[in-house]
Amino acid sequence: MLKLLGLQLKVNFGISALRWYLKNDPKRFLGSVGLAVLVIVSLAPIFYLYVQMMQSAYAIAAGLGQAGVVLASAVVLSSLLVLVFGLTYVISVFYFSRDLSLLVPLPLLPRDILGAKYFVVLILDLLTVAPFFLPALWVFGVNRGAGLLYWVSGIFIFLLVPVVPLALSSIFVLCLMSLVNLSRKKDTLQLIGLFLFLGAILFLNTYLTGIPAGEEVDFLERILADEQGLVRYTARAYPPALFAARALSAGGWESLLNFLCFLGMSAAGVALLLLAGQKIFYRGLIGGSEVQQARALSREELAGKTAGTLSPAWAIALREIKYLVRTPIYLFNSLAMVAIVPIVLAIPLFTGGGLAPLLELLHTVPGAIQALGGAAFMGSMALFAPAASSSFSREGRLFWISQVIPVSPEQQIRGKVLYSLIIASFSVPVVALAAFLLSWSISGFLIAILSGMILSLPAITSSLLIDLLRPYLTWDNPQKAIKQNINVVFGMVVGGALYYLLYLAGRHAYLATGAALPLYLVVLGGAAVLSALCYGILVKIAPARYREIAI
Amino acid sequence: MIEIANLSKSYLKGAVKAVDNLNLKVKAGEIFGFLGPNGAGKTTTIKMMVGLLKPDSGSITINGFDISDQPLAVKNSISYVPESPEIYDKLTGIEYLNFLGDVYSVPGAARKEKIPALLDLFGLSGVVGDLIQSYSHGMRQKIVLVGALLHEPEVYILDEPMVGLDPRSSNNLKNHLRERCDRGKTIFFSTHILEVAERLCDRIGIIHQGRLIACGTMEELRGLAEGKETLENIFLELTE
Repeated sequence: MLKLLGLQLKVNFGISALRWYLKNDPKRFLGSVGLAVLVIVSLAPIFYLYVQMMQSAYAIAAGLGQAGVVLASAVVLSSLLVLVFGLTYVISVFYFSRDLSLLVPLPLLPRDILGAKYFVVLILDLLTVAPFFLPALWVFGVNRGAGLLYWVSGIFIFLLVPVVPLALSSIFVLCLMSLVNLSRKKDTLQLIGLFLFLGAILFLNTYLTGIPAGEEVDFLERILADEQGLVRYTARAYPPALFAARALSAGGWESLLNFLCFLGMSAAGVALLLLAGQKIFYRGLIGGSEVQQARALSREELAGKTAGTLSPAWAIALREIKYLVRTPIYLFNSLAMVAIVPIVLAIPLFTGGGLAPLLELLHTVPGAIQALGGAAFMGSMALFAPAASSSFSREGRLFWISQVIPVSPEQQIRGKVLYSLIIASFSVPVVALAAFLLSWSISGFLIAILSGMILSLPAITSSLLIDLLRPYLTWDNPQKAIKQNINVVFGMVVGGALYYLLYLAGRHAYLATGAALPLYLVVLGGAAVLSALCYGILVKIAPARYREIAI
Repeated sequence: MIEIANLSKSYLKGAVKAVDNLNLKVKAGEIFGFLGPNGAGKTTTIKMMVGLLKPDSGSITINGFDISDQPLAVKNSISYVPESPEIYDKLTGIEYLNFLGDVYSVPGAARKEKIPALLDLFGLSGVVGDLIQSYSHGMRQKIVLVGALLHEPEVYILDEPMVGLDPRSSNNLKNHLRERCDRGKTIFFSTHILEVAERLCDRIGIIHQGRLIACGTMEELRGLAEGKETLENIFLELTE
């Protein structure tokens, strides 16, 4: 299994490829290293803000004598991230990697293949968790003047943080895929399973950490009276976080005991996964890519299906939509953010609270600003959905088709903009819900939607530009085209910066005039100018990029 | 119809010469077979002809258009079948053909007439409503060929088109290509199946280590390798 793990790491993290570039193509090697540095630098301001926030949280918690809550929160947040966002990594690496057709016929046990793939996802998750957990470890350690033992055990805890949540989501995926494999509608069931899991995690988390209505004061008194009250309360969302936090903050034998408990839970999680994997991994895997044959088309049906024609741009948009709908991982990643909002809004209705306080607050905001808020929501969904930022990358090795068809790169880009706008419009039902709850007029709702479409364009065009400059086409499972694609991160950073500029300009216009019209003109006009600029650069460089890209 | 002049392409900063100063002309209405051992430069040449690779130097003119200056005009003049049938596996066969019909601007009436005929030719009528994901390698090759024959370009550029085809489909393809050729179309294809090249091609070019080492009709090639009658023997002697 260790040899298999080594091979998986080389393949999945491009170690062999990097070595080859270092030897034969140093320019490309330096490019890859430079890109990694660029990512770190571009994320530095957000990271700095997060560290500052941690520092403030520590100061408040230490004032209450409960500094350990900083560590517990970081473990809970990291674990939830792994639990929710690790899901699609797991499905993709466990079930859709191209190397599975080579590995399964080899004399290896299912648990060996599963174990090697689990560790690959674990390392990916450690990279995800690091920026959330390590600042908390740093802030707590530095403020406490912690010794060597703290830092050593801190590193071990960091390495262990994703182990249990990843094992849990892996076991869920094993069960889901073995059930789904029995059905004809595999893709649909996979998607439903993923959204159910996401909903269950959010619901459970809110339910466990909810404060009983009407008992808020008593509840707070109880928590503050208990030395570990805040830590225990935070850890209700994810109980092992208590062991991790106590292992780092209690000191002496208690630290060791908690560390051993955390280690023991992690070992048990992995053992359970391997046991489950040995039993059911192949049930979901073998035959999983087989597709039920459809009924043969009659002459009339075939004639009906061949009669209609589309423009090239629409043909490309339609191709992308079909790929999205038929690839659960793409659909989940594109819709997860939009789906989370109604789930979060619905939770208070089930847990005894209500939306009344939130609605009361929103009613105090002028109607025109509310509508712009709806538009901004659509824009932010376009920013967070990786539709545009992975648009060229998702074509992968099939990009050759786009290179040989007699459709100009500009027309193809128009198709991709169309597709990204359609994805952005998935957030329309959420805006419609807001319009209903806040009693907007029809015209107010339409203004919000139209403005939302315009506001989506800077994110779409800048993300397309970033992806075209350096598309990631050599992925071996579809998840990598989105989750291991640095262009998606760059797209969010650059798009976020453009939106921040629009926010500053809009705020300035509103404060200066106090009227909605100048605000709309500045924000939407600014969005149109930025989009036109990005689109102009895109179509200018696209012909050369289409010629130069060699797969 | 196809004119390649002083074409060169190298990899690893010139360390590996994939195509070395290639010169070649293929006339309208001709079937030209492009042969060579593995790694000789066949696919690299074809990829440069269809715009998938940028040459280091030289020019490629197809149907009177230069691939560097007028790439869209060239792409409108050709049909290309790649070495490996990697296509959109999340589309059904008919969706893939309609997509190609849209991007090559094939009118609806022409599609209605040609698609059923081509599907029958390759025995794909029963599966055209299925996702390409469910197709075998041979079926994928067939749907790629149907897509390539859907519109009526002047030039067909086919990289190993017979690989994966059953004997009947292979025979049907050969007849279909000859028919199109008789209508004045040009066919440029690479193959390892020497019998096919010998029987089907009007002229044959042999590339070895990036250089065109022989080019002509079967008679002319026999003259280059004395005492060798079959294309296999000629090929073996010339590429030794």
